[in-house]
This record gives sequence, structure tokens and C-alpha cells, in this order.
Amino acid sequence: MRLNVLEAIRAGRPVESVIHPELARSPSVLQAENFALWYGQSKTLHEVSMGVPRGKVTALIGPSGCGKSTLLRSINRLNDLIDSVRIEGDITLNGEPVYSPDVDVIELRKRLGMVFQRPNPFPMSIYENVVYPLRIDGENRKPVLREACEKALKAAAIWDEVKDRLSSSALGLSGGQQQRLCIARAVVADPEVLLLDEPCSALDPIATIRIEELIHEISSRYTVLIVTHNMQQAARVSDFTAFMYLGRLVEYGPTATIFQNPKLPETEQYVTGRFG
Amino acid sequence: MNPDERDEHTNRGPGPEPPGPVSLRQTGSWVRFWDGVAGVTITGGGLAVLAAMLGICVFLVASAAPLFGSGGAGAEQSTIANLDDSAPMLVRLGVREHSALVLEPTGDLRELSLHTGARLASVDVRNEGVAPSAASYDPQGHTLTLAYPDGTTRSASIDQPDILLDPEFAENAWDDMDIGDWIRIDGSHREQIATALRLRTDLSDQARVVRAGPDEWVVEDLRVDLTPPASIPGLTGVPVKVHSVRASARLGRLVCLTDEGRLFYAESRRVVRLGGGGSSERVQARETPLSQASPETVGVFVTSDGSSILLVHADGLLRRFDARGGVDSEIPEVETRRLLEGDVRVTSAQMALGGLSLLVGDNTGRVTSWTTVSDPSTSAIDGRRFRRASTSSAGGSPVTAIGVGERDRTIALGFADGGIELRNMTSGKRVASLPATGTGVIAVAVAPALDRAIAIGSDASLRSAQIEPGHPQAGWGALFGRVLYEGYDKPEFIYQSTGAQGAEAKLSLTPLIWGTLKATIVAMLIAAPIAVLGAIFSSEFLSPRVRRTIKPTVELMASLPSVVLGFVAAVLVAPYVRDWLPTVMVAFAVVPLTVMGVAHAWRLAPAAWSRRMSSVRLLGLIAAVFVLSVALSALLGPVIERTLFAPDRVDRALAAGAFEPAESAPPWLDARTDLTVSESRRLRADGLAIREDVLVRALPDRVELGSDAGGQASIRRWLDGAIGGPWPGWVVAMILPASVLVAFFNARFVARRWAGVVSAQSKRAGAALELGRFVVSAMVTLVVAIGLAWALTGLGFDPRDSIFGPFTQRNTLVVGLVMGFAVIPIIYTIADDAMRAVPNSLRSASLGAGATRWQTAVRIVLPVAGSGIFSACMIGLGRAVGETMIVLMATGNTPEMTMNIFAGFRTLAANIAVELPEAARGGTHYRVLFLCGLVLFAMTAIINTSAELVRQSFRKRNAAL
Ligand SMILES: Nc1ncnc2c1ncn2[C@@H]1O[C@H](COP(=O)(O)OP(=O)(O)OP(=O)(O)O)[C@@H](O)[C@H]1O
Ligand SMILES: [Mg+2]
Repeated sequence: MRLNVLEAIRAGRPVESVIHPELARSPSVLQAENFALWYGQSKTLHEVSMGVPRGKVTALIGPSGCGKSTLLRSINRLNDLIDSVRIEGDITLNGEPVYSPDVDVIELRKRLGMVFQRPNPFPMSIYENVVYPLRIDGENRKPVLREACEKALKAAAIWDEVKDRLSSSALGLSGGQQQRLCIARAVVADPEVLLLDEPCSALDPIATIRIEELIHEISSRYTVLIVTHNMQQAARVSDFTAFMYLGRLVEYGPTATIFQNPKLPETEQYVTGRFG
Repeated sequence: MNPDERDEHTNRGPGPEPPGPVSLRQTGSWVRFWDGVAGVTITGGGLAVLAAMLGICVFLVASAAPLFGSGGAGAEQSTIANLDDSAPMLVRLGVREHSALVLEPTGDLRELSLHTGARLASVDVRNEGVAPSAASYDPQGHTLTLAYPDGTTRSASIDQPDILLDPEFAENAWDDMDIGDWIRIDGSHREQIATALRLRTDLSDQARVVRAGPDEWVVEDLRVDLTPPASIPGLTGVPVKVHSVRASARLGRLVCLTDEGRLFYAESRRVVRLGGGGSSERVQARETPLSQASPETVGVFVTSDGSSILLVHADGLLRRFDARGGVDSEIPEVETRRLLEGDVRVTSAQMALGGLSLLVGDNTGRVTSWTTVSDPSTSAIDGRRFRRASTSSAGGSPVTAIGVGERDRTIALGFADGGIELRNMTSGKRVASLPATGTGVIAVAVAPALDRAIAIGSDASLRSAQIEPGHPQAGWGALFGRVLYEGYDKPEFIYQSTGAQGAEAKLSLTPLIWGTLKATIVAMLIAAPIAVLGAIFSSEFLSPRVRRTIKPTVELMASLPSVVLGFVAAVLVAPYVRDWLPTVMVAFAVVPLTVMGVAHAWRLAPAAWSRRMSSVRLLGLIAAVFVLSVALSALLGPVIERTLFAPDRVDRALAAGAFEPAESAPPWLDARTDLTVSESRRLRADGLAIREDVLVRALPDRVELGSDAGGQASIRRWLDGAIGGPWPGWVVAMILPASVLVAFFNARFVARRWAGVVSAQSKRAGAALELGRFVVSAMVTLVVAIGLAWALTGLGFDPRDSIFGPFTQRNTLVVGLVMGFAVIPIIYTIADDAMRAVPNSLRSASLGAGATRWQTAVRIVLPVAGSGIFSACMIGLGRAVGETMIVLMATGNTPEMTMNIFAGFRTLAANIAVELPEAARGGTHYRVLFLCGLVLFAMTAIINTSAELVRQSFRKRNAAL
């Protein structure tokens, strides 16, 4: 009887997301309002409404294919590049609508740092990788670049490992180092929100832990939205957790509550791994 | 561009293999069999391809290599000639090359057998019992000109017919003859042969039958047709010492030096009497005073064009007389110079085949060839100068005889030590040499086919040798270097494989290589930017759906047969470019500028517009802009032609007759009045011109402003050098360098500060500022171009001496356009593929970091795809280098070597296609064509190898991607 929510979703019936009241109390940087997205004919996001609290780490969890990456990419409008994508509803960043006609997409993306599932450094030197977002802004002053590079690499906790080889190719780094380099690249231009899409999926446990520590550290400065399949990771790093299923937001609340005392039994089953 | 999630998933590198069940199952024997078959086939196929390539290469090398080898001498025989006097006046080879034709000082023209030295025929060429005192032979007309001590001259046409007899008939009569034997045709035989051949009247009493082989009998004859004596006025009764003749069909030119050292030049015209009665010779002569007593004279000659009389003295002194005016005017001595340094003495001199250059042999065994060239700096009144064209290495023993070959510039040299050498004066190659015998050579001759040389020694020995000439005209210098050819003023690269009979073969491949490179470079300059920009556009900006239709369409273009393109080029593009030249030239600047201007203006458009812009609409917009820009060019072209390429004030004054004699001439002119186009252009730039051999200064003030004297404005006339000064052309030519300069300056010094200014503005204002900057940059470019043009003009340069020049309809620009069109598809598809192969994750990363698509394309995609784009260009280049049909049909195939983009040219490939059908198999020309193929092969090999090297280094850099 109680599994009805997921069944209802599977049956295509509309369901109310369960959003914990704590969220209403924290001011949100990002706010999705009934955001829906289609890839061609198939509706991938179903009226998602959620806010991402400022200065907190929010985790997105859910089974594979439920639309987590799609949601993330909708925020910085990388989905625009796909011809067949159509959207409804809106997302706001600091109250400004992201999908309004006169928004400058390039400027928008500059305010959002993004790290992808798989490390994707550019085939250039470590230094050039990190300062790339500044370079495309037209920044060419050496001292400025150098300082920003050092700061970002320190923030990404990789400075000590690469400080002597800044001019060597980024492709020579290990996977974990590359991912941290990508994080450095994402934070170098001081974004308002950091979007992390399974940043540890390609990494070994030790590298994962380092990245988790890193997320913890930078969460004091940035708002972080992280997608993860790893429940422990979500539990360890995030302040809030959102559980998605087949394009719907099912339950969204403080991480502790979601993991220990969720309102929906389906959520509990998912986070405890008894679901599938 | 489409960095979607699915791509990122598929790009996720080689993940862990799914742990399949561990199997110990044996691989099936069929599988192993097919595996083996596949392995063998693939290896075999690869090896076969390699072998084929190597085979082609070896074949080309083997075909071309003999060009660089020398010939050799074969079987040799020597006999004692039946001569009355050991110093013959003339020696030639008989037609069938088993006899020698010798003119004895006694006035007996003899034919001697090379085997036995026996006399085969003998004709008396005396004049009323007086033997000739001088003789010279013209191989082209087969005429012998004789001068007699009494001042008369006769010419004899020599004919040596040989008629193959019907073996059945001959066998009856002469079966007992040995091979090589001969028998004079006497009365009875004469009847028989006459009935057999119906030739009776044609056979002289010198006719003979020779058994040339087991079944081969030949009737040979020596027929000498002597003209009646004509006396040279003024020379009657004066013994002539040296004497030379150059005869053409209408005019004979004689020059005689008498025993007393008087020089006569005579021209003889054959006058045909009306109403029958045969022809007679009318001779006119003029004596040229010789200023100083001439030392011992080796030879006196007149060039075949009648422009110079040359007197060669034994001490190496040459005196040249200007005979351009013929017998009707003075023949002044115009040049005296030493031909040889130090105390080297001239031992022998001859005119080379063609009668334009002089061959001089000296006592060090060296032979030099000399020719007259025009030289503005000379003090000679005919503006010409005697110049050395080539020098052979010294052989040690003095050159005592020179025999001129009749096929090319190959000559036979006889030395005082008895050695004989065949040498080609164009290529400088030593064709063959025969060892010294110890007895000096008095006369040498070489067969027309260069396959036999004969020499008469001072002991009356008659030596003859078979020669394997090889390829005398070819050699490194002749094939790739500059050569001073006869009739040219300086050493030049010329390719002219087939000329008039006896003309010097000009086989320099350099003009062809030049043409190949010129066509390729122009085509690539047009094709590479368009193709690469097109690939960037379609790979980075178009939606996949549109790209899926565009790409096959472009690829379809690549399959257009090049002969169709060539046809289009010749029939459609060439006339269009000719008729719309101003538009075409203007379009090169206007089209890119319009496109960029619209692109800038587009950013001012409401954002809603650009959001509604689908790929298809974008393409439509671009097409519309393109059409618009072409229309704009068509409008602007004539305007620019009218304003820039109009007759200037000087032109109009000159045309209107407003000029006065100039008081001073520029120093470089030194009083000449026949100027080249470029020289008269230079004069006009100073307001001067030559009118009726007088230097005049134009008086522009005397012509009213509105006058239309000087004709219409026209780029074509400007290109031909008829009107206008250099600077409008420079402006056109400098637009591109100027824009590069301005772009560089912008990027280097302005961009950073500018970025700050723009980012402080709102979006619209920023876009407006950018548009403004673009317009200003365009203006600055124009100003810079005008400045550069002005400076270049001031320095005295004229673009019509380099990149521009007289317009021919089938020109480089046309070929560049059409060949560009032919290579665009290849470059485009490969470059597009290379860019599509760049992982989407990199694009996502770049775009996610806030880069624009353009920034992503330029900073991320291009560097990663660089190797692919580079090899795309290289493959395009390879295609352009080897392209044949388009150049064949769309150029005049003239092997010119100019930078002029409005001139034709000939490429190596087109040369092979044009000339292979007419080249005799195995001949020099044939092998030169193979050499063209080899050079082409080498060029493509170099291009491809360098492309591969660059690609490898790129790949190494991106290996970790
Ligand atoms: N470019 C695309 N075109 C069409 N459908 C897509 C595209 N990208 C994703 N989808 C579909 O949208 C759905 C959501 O995909 P998404 O990548 O957002 O899932 P996810 O939650 O990130 O999954 P995972 O945890 O495996 O990364 C999937 O069904 C997927 O097949
Ligand atoms: Mg995902």
C-alpha cells in the first residue's frame, strides 16, 4: 500500500514532491519552479520545483537515468545545445530567471562552475587549464593569472602536487588529480554555484575521499550542488539531499533526516539500498 | 555541436571488461582458418600495394635516369682516304653514313667509302677550270656556297638520293656482290634500273648500286646542281681567303675576306625571269672598311638573321660589324673584344646550328660558345653585346676542327692529338669521346642522327666511329638550371620541347615546377580558408540534422569529374572573369568584409531573433548575405575601375598630344627609344614618354579636366600597362597584408584594453562598440593599404612587374578559383571529421566554463583537431599538385615563369598530358616527360611525408586524449 508513490510515478500519475520545511527556512540561490524538460517527445523532467540553499552542499540522488544530470545541465543551460530539447517552467539564479529571453547564456555559465562525471582537462598545460575561464574573459595579465591559478589549485587541494609542473600537460595527471584540476578550473572564476556531476565516479576510494574533503572545505565559500550515486558520500558531504525518481523530485530535505528518518518509506528503501 | 550526456557516457574510456566466464574451449578450426586467410590476404594486399608503389617509382627513375647519363662510342674503323690533298675544305657524312663527302682544294667534290677510303663518286665544282678558294656549307638548306678567286660565287645544292631496289630484280643482276660492295651503274644496268624504277633521267653518271645487306641493294647517287656563276660586285679578280654563307630560301648572305684583308658583305637574291628561262642570282655587295690590319683570321661569319658579321682572329680577338641595314647601308664595326684570356689562341671557329651562335675552339682544348645579346649598358650602337653562353672544360690538346651537328646543339671536336669528342653546347654534356691517335685531326663531321662521327687526319687517314649519343640535350644544368639560349639576352629558365627544325631544345623543368607550385598555392589560398572555416562552421555551429544533409552534398561535389570542372572553368568562369574583372577583384575584399560586418551587426539584433535562428535559417541568412555581398561587388567594381584605373593626367595629355620635347632624360634610359612595356611605364610615372623616337614631357595642364582623351578607364588596359600608374594596383594588392597587419595590431595592443571597455557596457552597447571598432578597423586597413601603396610607388615598384601583368583570359586566378572549388570538398570533409572526432566532453568543459562557441572552436577544438585539419590541407594540396584536367583546360598551357596572377602557366601534370602523345618513345623528350612524372611524384611524396611527420607530432601531443 505504501509503495504507491513510486508506482504512481511509474504509472505516470502526478505526485506531490515531499519537501521538508527546513528548506523553506534557508534562502536559496537556485530555485526551480515547475521545471519540465523534454528530449524530443520524451519528457525527462516532470515539473521539478526545488530550491538550492545558499552556502550549503546539496546532493541529488536517484537511480540511473532519473534525470539528475539533465537537471544539472539545465541550470547552466548546456542543454540548449541539444536541438531537440524543449523546456517549460523556469529556474532562477539569485532571483533572475535563467531561461528569460534576454539572459546572456555565456555570462550565466560564467557564474556557475561545472565539474563533469568524467575528468575532462584540456590538452594543454596544467596552468593553461586552470586559467582557461579567465583567458576567455580576455584576461591576459600574467600576475593576475598566476595568482588566480595558485588560489584555485590550492582550493582544489592539488597545489602541492602540481606546483612544480604547472607547464606540463594536464593529460599526464592521474584521474583523481585531473578531476581536482577540473574542480580548480571550475572555481577559478569565483562562481556562485558549483555544479558537480558525480565527480568521483571515475575515481578510487582514496581520491574520492580527497575530493569529498575538498567539497567539504569549499562548501564554506560556494554553494554546491552535487550528483552522486554513492549514498555514503551523499550522507558525508551534503547538508541537504534530494531524491529523484524518473524525472520527479520525490523527497527533499536535510541529509540527516533523509537518511535516518525520511518521510517516505520509498526514500528510506532507496537510501538503504533495498530498492531496485 | 551537441555535448549530450550520452556522448559522455560512450566516451568513458575503456572501462573494466565484463568478467566473462573463463573458458578453456579450443578455438574452432574454421575460425582459425579464416583468421589465417584474412591475415594472409591483408598482409599480401599491403605488400602488393607497397610493391606497386615501389615499382612505379623504380620505373619512373629507370625511365628518367638515362637523361643524366652520357653516351658512348662504339665500333670504330680507320682507313686511308683517297685524297689528292690532305687538307680538305669541307667534310660531311654521306646520307647513308657509310661514306664521307669531301671537298678537295682542287675543286673536286668526292664521296669516299668509310670502309676502304675508295672514291665512290666525284663531281667537279670548278668554275671554268678554276678551283674555289673558299666554301661553306649550310646543313639546313643542303647548299654549298663556293667562292672563286675571280670574285664570282656559285652555289650548289647537293642531293644524295638513295633508292631501295626490289630484291627480286636485284638478285638476278648482282647476286655475286659481297655485302658492302658497290658497282657503278653503267650503260646496261642503267637501262635495267631505269625500266625497273623509271628513274633514268634522274640518275647522274655517279650513280651506283650498293649491296647493303643479304637482301638489300640500294641505288645511291650524288647529284650536285650548280648555279651559274654570279660575280660579287667589287670583288672581281680578288682572291677570297675566308668566306662564309648563310642562306635562306629567299636570301643568301655572304661574307668574304680577301687575301688583302678586305671585307665584303654580299646579299644574293634569286631572280626568276618572267616568261621562263630559269633563274639567275642577283648579287649586291658592300665593302666594309677594316680599320686596322687584321691579324691572322680564323673565320669570318654572318649570323643567320643577318644582324652581325663576325671576324674571329687567331689571337682571340673578335670584331663584330652591324649588318642590320644590309648592303644598302654602312656596315660599321660595333664591337671588338677578346674572346680568350691570356695568350690562349683560337685554333678553330664555326657557327653553331641555327647560325646565331659562334663556337670557338682554342689551343687549350676548350670550346666556348658565344652569342649576341641586347644589353642596354653597352656602348655598341646596336645595343647588343657579344656574350659567352657556355664553356667546356679544357682538354689539353688544341681544338683543330669543329663539326656542327644537324639535330641539336651537339658538335664534334677534333683535337691536335687525334682525339675526337662530341659535346652538346646547350647542356654542356660530353656525349662521347674517341681516344687520341697521335695524328692531328683536320676535319670532323657528325651524322645528323649523331650516331656516327668521322674525322680526317693530317695523314689523310679517314677515321669513323659509331656513336651511342644517349640524350645530349639533357643534363642537370639544362633540365633545372638557367641556360643562355640563342636569341635570348640572359640565361633563363625556358621549357620549349618542340620548336622549329634546328631550333635549340629548351628543356628546363623549372617553369613547369613553378607553374605547378603557382597553381597549387593560388588554389590553396582560395580553398583552404573557405574549406576550414566551412568545416568549423558545420562542425561547431550547425545542428547535427542540418550537417547530415550538408556534408554528403559537399562530398558529392568532390566526386565531380575534374574534366567537367575544367570545362566549366574554360567555358564559363574564364569569360566571366574576363568580362567582370573589376567585380571579381573587388569581391575578394568586399565579400569577407560584408560577411564580417553583418556578423557584427547581427549582435545588435534583439536576442529573440537569434534564439529563433535555427540552423536552416542561419544558412539561409548566410546565403543571403553572400548574394548581397556579391551584388555589392558588382556595384562597386565598375566604380572602383572608373576611379582608380582610369587614364591619369599624363596619359590624357599624351593622348591629346599635349607634350613637348623633354630637356633631360633619366639616366637609366641612355638614349634608347625602343622600350619594354615596363620601361615605358616607368617613364610615364615621371611624366615622360617616347613619341616618334623623341623623349617628350607631357603637359597635363594643357588638357581640360573633362577631356576624355586617353580612352576609357579599364583594369585590362591598366594591367597591360597602357594607362595609369602603379599605386591603384598596389592598393588592391596591399589590402590583404594591411588587414593582417591591422588584425595583428588589434590582437596585440588593443584587444585587452578594449575587452575592459566593452565588458563595462550593456550587451547592446557592447555590440555597437564592437561594430564600431570593426568599421574603424576596416577604414584603418584601407588607409594602411593606401599608405603602403604610396610607399611602394614612391620606391619605384610597380605591381605590374610582379603579381599583376598583362591579362590573358585563361589565367592563374581562374584556375585557382576552379581548382579551389575542386579541393574544397576534400579539405572540408576531412577537417570536419577531424573536428567531430574531438571529444564532446572537451566542448562541454569549455562551454560550461563560459566560453562562446567560437572561443571553444578556436581554443579547444582547433588545436586538438589541428593534425586532422593539417592533413586535410595536405591531402588537398596533393590533389592540387597532381590536378591535370582543370589546368589543362583552363590555362593556355604556356610554360611562363611569372608571378602575374593573370598569366597562364603550365604544370608538370598538364605537360605530361599534353606532350606524351607526341613524344617519340625512348627519345629525350619522352624521357623528359617521365622526369616530369618523377618530379611530380617526388613533390607529392615530400608533401605527404611532411604532412605525416607533422601529424605524428600532433598525435603524440594528444595521445593521452
Ligand atoms: N541528449 C539526449 N537526448 C535524448 N535523451 C537523453 C539525452 N540525454 C539524456 N537523455 C535521457 O534522459 C534521461 C535522463 O538522463 P540523465 O543523464 O539526466 O540521467 P542521470 O540521472 O544523470 O543518470 P546517471 O546517474 O546514470 O548519470 C535518460 O533516460 C536518458 O536516456
Ligand atoms: Mg548523470
